[in-house]
Amino acid sequence: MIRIVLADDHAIVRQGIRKIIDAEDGLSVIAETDNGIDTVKIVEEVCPDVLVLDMMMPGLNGLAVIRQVKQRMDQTRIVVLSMHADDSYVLAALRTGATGYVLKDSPSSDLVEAIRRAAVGRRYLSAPLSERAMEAYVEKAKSKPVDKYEMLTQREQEILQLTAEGNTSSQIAERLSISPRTVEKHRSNLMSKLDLHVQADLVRYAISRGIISYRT
Amino acid sequence: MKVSGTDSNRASTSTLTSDKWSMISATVVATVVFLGDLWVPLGIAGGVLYLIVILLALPLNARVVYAYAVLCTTLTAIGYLVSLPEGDVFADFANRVVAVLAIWIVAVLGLHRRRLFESIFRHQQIIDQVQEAVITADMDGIIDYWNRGAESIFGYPAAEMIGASISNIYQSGEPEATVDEVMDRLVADGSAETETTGVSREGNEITIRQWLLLRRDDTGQPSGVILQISDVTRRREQERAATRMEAFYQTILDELPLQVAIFDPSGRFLYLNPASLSDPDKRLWILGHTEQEYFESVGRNLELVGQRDSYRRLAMKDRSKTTFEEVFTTRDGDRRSFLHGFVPVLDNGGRVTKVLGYRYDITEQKQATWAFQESLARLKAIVDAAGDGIFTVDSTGCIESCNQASQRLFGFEPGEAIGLPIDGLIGGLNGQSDLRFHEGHLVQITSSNAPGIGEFEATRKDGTTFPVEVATSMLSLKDGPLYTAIIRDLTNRKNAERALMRYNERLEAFRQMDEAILTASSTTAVAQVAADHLGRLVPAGTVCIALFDDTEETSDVLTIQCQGGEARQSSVKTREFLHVEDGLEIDDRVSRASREGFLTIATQEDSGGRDRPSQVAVPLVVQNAIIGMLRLQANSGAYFEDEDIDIAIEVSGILAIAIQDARLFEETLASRKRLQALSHRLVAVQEHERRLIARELHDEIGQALTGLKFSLETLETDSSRNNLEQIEDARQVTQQLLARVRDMSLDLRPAMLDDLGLLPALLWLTDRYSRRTGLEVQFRHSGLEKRLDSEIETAAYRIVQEALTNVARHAGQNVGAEVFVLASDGSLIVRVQDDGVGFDVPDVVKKRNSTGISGMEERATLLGGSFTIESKPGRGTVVSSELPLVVQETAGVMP
Repeated sequence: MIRIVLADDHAIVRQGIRKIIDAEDGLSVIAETDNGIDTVKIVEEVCPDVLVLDMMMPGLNGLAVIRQVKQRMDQTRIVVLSMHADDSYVLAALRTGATGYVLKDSPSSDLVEAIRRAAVGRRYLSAPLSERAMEAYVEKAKSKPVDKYEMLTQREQEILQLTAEGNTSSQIAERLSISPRTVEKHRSNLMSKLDLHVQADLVRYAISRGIISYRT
Repeated sequence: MKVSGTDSNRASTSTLTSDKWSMISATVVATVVFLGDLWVPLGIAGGVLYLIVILLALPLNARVVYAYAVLCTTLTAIGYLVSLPEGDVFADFANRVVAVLAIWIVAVLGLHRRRLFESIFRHQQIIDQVQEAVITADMDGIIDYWNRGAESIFGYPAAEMIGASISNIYQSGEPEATVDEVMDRLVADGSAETETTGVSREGNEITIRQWLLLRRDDTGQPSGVILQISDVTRRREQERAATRMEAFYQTILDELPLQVAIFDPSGRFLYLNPASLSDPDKRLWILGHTEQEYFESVGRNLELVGQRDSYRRLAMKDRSKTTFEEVFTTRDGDRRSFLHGFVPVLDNGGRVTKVLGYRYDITEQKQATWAFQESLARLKAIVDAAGDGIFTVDSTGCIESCNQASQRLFGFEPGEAIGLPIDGLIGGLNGQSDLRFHEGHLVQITSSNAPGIGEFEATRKDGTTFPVEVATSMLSLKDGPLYTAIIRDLTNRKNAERALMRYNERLEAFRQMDEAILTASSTTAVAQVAADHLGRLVPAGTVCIALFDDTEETSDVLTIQCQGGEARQSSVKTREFLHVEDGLEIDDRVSRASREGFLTIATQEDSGGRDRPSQVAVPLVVQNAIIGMLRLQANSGAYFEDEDIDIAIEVSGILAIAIQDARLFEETLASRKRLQALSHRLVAVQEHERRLIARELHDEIGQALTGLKFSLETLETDSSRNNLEQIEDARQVTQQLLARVRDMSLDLRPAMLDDLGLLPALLWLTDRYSRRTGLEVQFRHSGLEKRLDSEIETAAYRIVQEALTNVARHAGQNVGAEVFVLASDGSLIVRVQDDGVGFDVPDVVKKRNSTGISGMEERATLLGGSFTIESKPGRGTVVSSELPLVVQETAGVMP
């Protein structure tokens, strides 16, 4: 017998799910909750085999419930029931500790399958979700780290280079046909973006970035 | 003397005459004898003849005898040479030689005797000629010598007295004892001295002083007495008279209150009157002692003695009276003063025999003098210490005396001002008042009400002038009026008055300026008012006010020609406005201006050859930021004083704040307008979105639900039929509905932004954007693993969403977009750029009708961040925003 706690803020949804589960052999709903905080408490009390959890719940966000339950009752497996098919949600739920992820618009058999698998510690994702899609998503979310330098505007990059080359504000102003006060404003902006404080830092940064070459 | 001289001359003359004849006769006789002997040889018998020759020599005068001897010698020689060989040559020669020898002996003896006689004669003459009587007598008292002195004293001639008794010259009744005593002393000592009374031939008593000398014969036995007697009658009488006079004077001196003393030349007291020393015992003691000895005996200060001695000696040396003042302090501490005098007493020979000393107490007189001098000195000190110049002016208008302050005021050396005419130093001031001398009177022509006080212009020694206040007063003295002029330097007061006036003017100008600024509504109006007033406060020809506009890199310049010129407004490049041809970097220029408060742009040489600023720029500073510059240009050839620059700086302070206020006001107005526009647009957008949602709900969701409703009704009414197909249709519709609702929900606000954070939301957004628009979006991020503040996440999300929407809408076909998001310690930087067609930023911004751009800016500004949009037509667009971060501690869950 797999003991199940059902957590969803919508009573109709709970009823529907309960009907589906009760119809199955070896599955039994031992408690229902309609908010995140109660869910954590009840799970602690009854210590179910599987928690069927709605992602969107008042009181405590689904991800937060997963995190807390995993901290306190590690043996309870969690199957997330969600309307979000987005990879980011799935990934977030799985990474937080969910064992299964079932979409609400999937066939009801998916849920039963997910519960049975979860009870023995196996992962289940309802279609069209898949492990591969998850991996692809993780790959996509990875980004070549953004350099602070890239965040500078073109003007700021120019001024950084000219300043590092030893030009004064007025020389830069002459060169770029702008006022020296503007040059200074740009410079102070770029220094704040690069987290630099004094002119020497700026020159050092420019050398380390290869913007100017270091000559002895 | 004369008589006796004449007698001796006569005697010698007669001797000469008789000598001549005896010489001639002797010569003749000698010649005859010597020569006769040649022819008549007499042999030895001839010697008799030669005896005659020898005898002839005896009466001859001594000198003549020598001549006679020489003659005889010569004759002897001749006789020997010419004597005939026959005859008794030897006898003749022997006779002659013997005769000649005899004659030589007579000659020598005669000379000796003559000398003896002459000596005796001379002594007698000397004795005769002394005034004193010289008398000799034998032991029986018989006089054997009586000289002329004796004759003149006693009246007896020598002839009468020689052989007479010596007792005749003494007054009879002389006690025997006295005579014996004298005689005894004479015999014992060989001499004696007595004074006694003699009697002259006429029977007059004569006081004589006699020295007796015992005369002894060859055996040493007393043979007589030599008396030397002088008449001292007159002297004794004088002495007695003098003694009587001295007693008279002494009585006077004894009674005199004046202190008198008489000293001998060596400084010993001969006399001291009771006024000098009242104790008679001491007075007696002191006679014969010096003053020093007396002072030593009573233990008094010897210093005084030294001074007195030196003056006494001076009197003796100069043989004239000396006086001096002696000041000393008594044992009681009183200060006493004495007037001393020393008068030398001279004898007939002009030698100092005595010195008369006197002194009297002048302490009281001196005290009066001292008091007077002290009060005079006090008065002088007061006059000299006075800060005002004080002159006394005599009746000719010339300065008689002046104090130190007046020397200082006019630049005179001490004493230099004496004798200068006062009206040459102090002249009229503005023609209203004048100080001049008129008919011996100092006249003040003055417009002031106070009598005797007026304001004038004074001239220093070096010719410079300064304002003074002169108070005059007159003092009537016996030799004419004396004027006192008290001169007070008004320079400081006048300067203070002028300064006060200037301050008042300045204050008034500031007040007016403040008032005008308060009523001015725009920055331009404020600048105009300030420039107008500044032009009146400082000697500026042109006043320029430039307000920097950093974003445009230009300055709005308001130039005002101060002398009735009009204001001109222009917009120039800030760098051109700041540019000055002196090689200074503009940065340095601005920083120096803000450091020193002003900047000298051009200079002008002043009269002293010093460079003074003729063009200055004063920064307009508000909260350490320079918002503009105030530039003043002096009239040509003029320059600014420090004070002018101070005013300019002060005005710049007011102006900067006023401009800032006006700007804030303008900004507030503008932002209120913008806010109104924004809320208008927001309302419009809201309505638009509601319309869209309503339409979607109605057109799509509503239609689908209606279809579903019909399907369910059909199922309900026809439950018997095999309706699996219908149920499948209904399920499909429900599925579509669900998807549609989810899409709508996500479009409105993606749930993952709240649930999972910015990164999943942006991933979802860019993915969906690419799919929908077909545009390539490159999304790169850093530091987004952490959850950020929900507002920041929302703002960043919306900015990216809006920027991408704009790219899709305006950037054109086939453009690439890049999204960069960087969360660092302090800020979240969002940057969306495309390589599309771009646009003219100011153009679009000015229209202010782009809900998108102003919405993004509004979001960034609300969170204290910045928002910039860079674009140029044809060169793509960069939208960037930096939002300050307060990092959320909650651990993130995303990759």
